[in-house]
Amino acid sequence: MIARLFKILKLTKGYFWWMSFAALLGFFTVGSGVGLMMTSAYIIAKAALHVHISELQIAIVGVRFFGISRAVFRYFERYVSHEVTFRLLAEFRVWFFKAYERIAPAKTKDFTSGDLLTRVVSDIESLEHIFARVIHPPAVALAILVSLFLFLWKFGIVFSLIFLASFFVAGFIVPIFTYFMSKNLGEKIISLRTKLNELVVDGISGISELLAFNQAENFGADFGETQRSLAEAERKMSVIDGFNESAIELIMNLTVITIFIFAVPLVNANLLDGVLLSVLALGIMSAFEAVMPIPLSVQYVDKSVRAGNRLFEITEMQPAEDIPNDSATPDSFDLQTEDLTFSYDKIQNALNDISFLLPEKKKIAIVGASGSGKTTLANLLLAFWRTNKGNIVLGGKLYSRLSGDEIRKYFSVISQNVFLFNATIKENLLIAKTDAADEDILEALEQAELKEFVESLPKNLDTFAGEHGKQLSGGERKRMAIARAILKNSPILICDEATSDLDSITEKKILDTILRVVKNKSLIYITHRFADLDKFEEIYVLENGRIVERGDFKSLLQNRGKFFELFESQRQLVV
Amino acid sequence: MFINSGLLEYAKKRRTTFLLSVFFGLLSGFAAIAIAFFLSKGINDVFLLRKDLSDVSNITTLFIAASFLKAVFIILKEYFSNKLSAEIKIELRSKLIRKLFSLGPVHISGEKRGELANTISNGVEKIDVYFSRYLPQLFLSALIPLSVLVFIFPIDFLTGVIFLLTAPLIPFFMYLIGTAAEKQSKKQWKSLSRMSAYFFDVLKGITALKIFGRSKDEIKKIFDVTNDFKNRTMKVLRIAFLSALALELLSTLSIAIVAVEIGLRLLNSGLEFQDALFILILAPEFYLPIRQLGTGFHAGLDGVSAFARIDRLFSRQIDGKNISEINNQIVNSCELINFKNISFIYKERKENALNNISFEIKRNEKVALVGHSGAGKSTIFNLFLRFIEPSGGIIFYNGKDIRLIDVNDWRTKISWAPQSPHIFNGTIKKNIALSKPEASDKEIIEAAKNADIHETILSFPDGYDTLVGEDGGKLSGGQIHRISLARAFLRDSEILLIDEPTANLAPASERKILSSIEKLTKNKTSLIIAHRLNTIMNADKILVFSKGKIVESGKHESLINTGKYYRALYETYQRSAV
Repeated sequence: MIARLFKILKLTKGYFWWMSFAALLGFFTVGSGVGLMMTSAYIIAKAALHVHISELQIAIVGVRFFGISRAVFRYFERYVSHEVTFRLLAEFRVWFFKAYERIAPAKTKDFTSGDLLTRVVSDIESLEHIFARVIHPPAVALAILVSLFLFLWKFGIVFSLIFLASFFVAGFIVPIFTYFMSKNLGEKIISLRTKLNELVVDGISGISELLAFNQAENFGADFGETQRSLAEAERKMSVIDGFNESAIELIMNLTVITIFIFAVPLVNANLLDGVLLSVLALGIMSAFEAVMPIPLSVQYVDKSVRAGNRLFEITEMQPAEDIPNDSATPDSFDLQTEDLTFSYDKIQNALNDISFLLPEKKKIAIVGASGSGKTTLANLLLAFWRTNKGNIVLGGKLYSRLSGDEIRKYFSVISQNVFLFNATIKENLLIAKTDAADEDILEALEQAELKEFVESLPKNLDTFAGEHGKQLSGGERKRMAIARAILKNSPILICDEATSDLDSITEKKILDTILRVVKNKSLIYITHRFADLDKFEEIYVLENGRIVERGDFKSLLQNRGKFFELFESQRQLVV
Repeated sequence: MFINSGLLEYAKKRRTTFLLSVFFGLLSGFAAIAIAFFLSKGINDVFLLRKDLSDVSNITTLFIAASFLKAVFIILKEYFSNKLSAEIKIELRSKLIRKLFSLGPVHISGEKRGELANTISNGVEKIDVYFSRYLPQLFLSALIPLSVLVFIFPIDFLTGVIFLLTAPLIPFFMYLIGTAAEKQSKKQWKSLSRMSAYFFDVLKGITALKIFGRSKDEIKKIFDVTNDFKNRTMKVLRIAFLSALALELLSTLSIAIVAVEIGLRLLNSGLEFQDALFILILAPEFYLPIRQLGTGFHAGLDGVSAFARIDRLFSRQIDGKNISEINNQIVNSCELINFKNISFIYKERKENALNNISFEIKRNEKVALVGHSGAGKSTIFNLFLRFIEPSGGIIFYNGKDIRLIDVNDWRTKISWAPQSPHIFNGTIKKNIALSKPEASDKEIIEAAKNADIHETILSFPDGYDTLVGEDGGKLSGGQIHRISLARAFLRDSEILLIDEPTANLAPASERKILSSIEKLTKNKTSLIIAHRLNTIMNADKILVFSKGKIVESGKHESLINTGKYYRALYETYQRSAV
């Protein structure tokens, strides 16, 4: 755990001076409080002895100074530590995203959406507190401990030792003790919160089914049950928290009384100035302010390490694509694969000896049932994964010499699930060409036959596509993807089951649009449907990761092979 | 502004818990007064009266006892204030979920899912602080200082006056700064939600970003968005901290003034040392509750802003006519369903999704809805399931306006197999039993067999107890559809609404689904959004939709000759089949 904690702390390395500065301000704040109470006690104790007023002058100035400085230091301490916290948040986000960007989408398929939401948003947000909750309080407490230890030594090492011991108990033993007492409970609370969160996401996503099947009440009961268990656990936790808070105060009071008991004989024997009785009592009382937040820090160590572990799990994944340092660029847009073989798990090959040639501007189709390796092929062509064996060659350059970003410049993709960002239609199109003018966008929409639809929307281009683009139908989403492809204007278009979730009428229309817009480009049309395949110059039939047949539509039908078999089975299905 | 009346209502319902938390808080304040008294007496006895340890042993014992009591009171206060907030959280979350259900899927589709979930999870969590830290503290911040004053006034009138004069300045400052901070805090809450949604969105859309070579640009954008959030928040905090500064300054300066003032009077023998020390020890205790309120205040504001968002959801109303009189009687079996002059318009769209359409379905009739996507077929389903109410026209069931039927009773009549079924976190068994939770294992297996998914389920390592993850990650599209059909079989209701899958399904799977649908709709009143020719040809009636209108209706044989739209559709179907 400590090793992990250090790993997380390493991420904050760049902010060392910022953090030290905040800790120093924290020390001054608590120190001013101690100073205020000590000088105040000094004044009244001295005054009780009826000394001359001039003897109090310095103390009076001191009291005023500490009275002001405490508030001012507190203000700056908080300000600086929040600044650090938010800087760290940005740092952590960017750190995570950078790592994520390297491994996605190849390695991130297994993450589910709600999981990602909790993971990334809340884990990073818990790490965000690592400074204010984990680093800062112990640093301030340590500084107070050292300075007061030295101060008390002047009056007797026994006072220093009592203070050290009780500070240690309050700032270390009690927090550790309560931490272990609450550990299981804390875990339970976390898992119940996650469960609650999942239930919420699940319930909102499945709201239609829950309502249609009259299950809203049952769901509510489930939800209520989880909430009650959570509340029960949280209530137990509150007792522990209360113990934490009160234990430190109790120790503080016991320290004061212990020091008092040790000091009384010394005062009686005139070995210690009686004035110091009140000075020490009040000083020690205010010094304990520094250990008050430590129990929380200990809990946060655990929380941060957990969050960190989950994040490291993602960030430490090896990317599926390596980044060549060669900065080659292809000479043309001919695409060729040579004996392409690929396996995700090194046990079973997803693709075997795939060879095909796609000269510039040619249109080919790759058909096969789901699980035959079509999407794998697309992922390889897009360099999301790199091949195990065999080559892909683009414009005379081996893929292994090209970076993923370079390769993807030459491709546009229309896939089954068109991702629309929570943004306006315009912003969703601009990702394809950031500097596109409105005219370009409208032109692309017109080409994609979506202009009329967009113009029918109340805010036209500035209409929000909404989460998951709910307001857009499947066909409309595909047309958005087409418009993006037009804007990107890359030489090769991959359609990965682009139309297979549409009804056949919409499917046909979309395909017509696609064929029209790629007239002067290459097209790889991946599908399991056999409609309109006669429009492709060459068809490859994929089965279990192998190309089992190839040819044009007519000859494939005449061959009466695998293609014919699949074709017939689908035809019977529809008619 | 100190008390949000909406939130206070929730505390009022739990008066005892709330009062207990304040009561124990107050007791801990009294314990603090006792502690100060014993300590000042002990020091006085030794310092001025030159007593020795055995003389002060009583005082030390009492001091220790008071310390322990204080600890216990704090725990109890903590316990009750958390009990209060926990109960309120449960109520709010349950109420939110109920509200979402009453709004229904169509009405919440305009909201961002992540944001909704965030409101229910984190938004409500923010309100926790309002009740556990802020509200009891608000009362204590008045009660404890007043109690302290009761002790101080008899001892030293002047100090009492200083305390009394400075204390009200604190709420005054809070009021002065609070209004501005509240406004900012609202903004910040919005920006936090947006930022989370944005970050989530980017992570989800990484493939699209990579394909367009935009993923690396996002690094800067995430930084900027977070930075923007930082700047907004720091702006809030600059003010929030300023209030804390003012509060802190008030209390520390007051202590400083009191210390000097009582010191000077001690010099002139106007005051006893023990009383002076008592006042000095108590001075921080006097300001502490008010200062704690200052820190809780910011968190309290957060709670209030979160509540505003929650309240906005609570107050969302569904457009459409309300019919107050609902007949709860059991609905008799289906003879005839009429859609009469039904129109519907979605909020975001300019044009009607349905435009004055009328049709009827007789008992055990199979009705196929066909037409281009966006022609209004799904709206019919939404109306039928009563996720939405027509903006015009009435749906009749056996001649009765369906709005007169309790919506839950109505839905028990219906089974629904949607286009993209949702698979819940849980076992396969539980997922099938969604449509009939009381079903026996035998019934579930029977339904699975009918939906042709039984064998597949058995092939999974845990069979029917196999856990399926979020969005049914472990199931293929075809399997999800078959689970959805198993639900419909299990429910065995009179009326069926089926959206034929159009998704990317393996031919074998597709064949199974279609034959299951056929089996399912036998001798049932069914509405099918059809994508397959054989479905259409077997239908008793076909409704052809175009731009929110039914343009043609009838059987295949007659439509093929007379229906212009239908023929065009049919021809495309046929062409696309080849």
